[in-house]
Amino acid sequence: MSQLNQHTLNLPLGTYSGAKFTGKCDAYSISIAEGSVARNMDISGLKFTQISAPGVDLTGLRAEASSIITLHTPGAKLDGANFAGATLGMSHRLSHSVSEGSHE
Amino acid sequence: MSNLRFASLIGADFTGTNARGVDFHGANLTGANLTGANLAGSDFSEVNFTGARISAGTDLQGANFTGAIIQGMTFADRDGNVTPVSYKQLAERGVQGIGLQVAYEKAGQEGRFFKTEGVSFGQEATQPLDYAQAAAAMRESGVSAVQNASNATLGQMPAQAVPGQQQERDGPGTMRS
Repeated sequence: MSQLNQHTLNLPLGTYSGAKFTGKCDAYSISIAEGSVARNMDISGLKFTQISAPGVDLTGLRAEASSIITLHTPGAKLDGANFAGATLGMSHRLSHSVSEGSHE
Repeated sequence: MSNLRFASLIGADFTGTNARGVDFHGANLTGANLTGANLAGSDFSEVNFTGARISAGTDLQGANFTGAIIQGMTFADRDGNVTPVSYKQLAERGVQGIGLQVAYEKAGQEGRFFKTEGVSFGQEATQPLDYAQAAAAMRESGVSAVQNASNATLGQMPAQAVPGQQQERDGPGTMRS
């Protein structure tokens, strides 16, 4: 099995509206502190993304049609989010292979 | 798997999204576009679907709709005809947790009503619908919860009896008048 590189991003309480994420890593794990505001966030440049953002305002989140996203966002505000064509939830196998090659 | 419990997803676009097995419990999907999405096995219990859209290509097999609000939800068939979603239609698509609502819907369409403990089904009507009729309505709708309805305790039924149903009313359901 080929190794996948994962980049982890921990965002403290704050405002991240309009943030656009791009990168060359295979997978990204983005954690946003509860109560933050991250409207119109664009993760369309990321192939595999895991977002942990419970209670965060993610209004207008935009994902690429071919992207695979795992969302842990209970209670979050995702009004108007665009997940057209995306896959919500990595398979266990993919998740496992991503974590095998993870690095900060 | 993804967890979107109690998330506000008003107007979100899930067109063609693969959201198989996602937990949407208690979420607000008002006006969301779910056309062509794969939602098989997802948990939509207590979800508000008011004004949401699904289509012939939406896969709902095994999805849990217990307590979901579907009033104002629309269904687009392969010819582009848009109609309000019915509980019966959801049952036919393999959705779980809506058995009694199918009977309710059918009873309402027939201008009948019946009641179970704490829950009223149908509209105030000129002719009461007893447990046997409710079970029959569900059976005709092809839902799997028929047996549960047959065993339900029916309360507060009007004194007026439906001709020919006396023997069945004395069956598994307990009826009070």
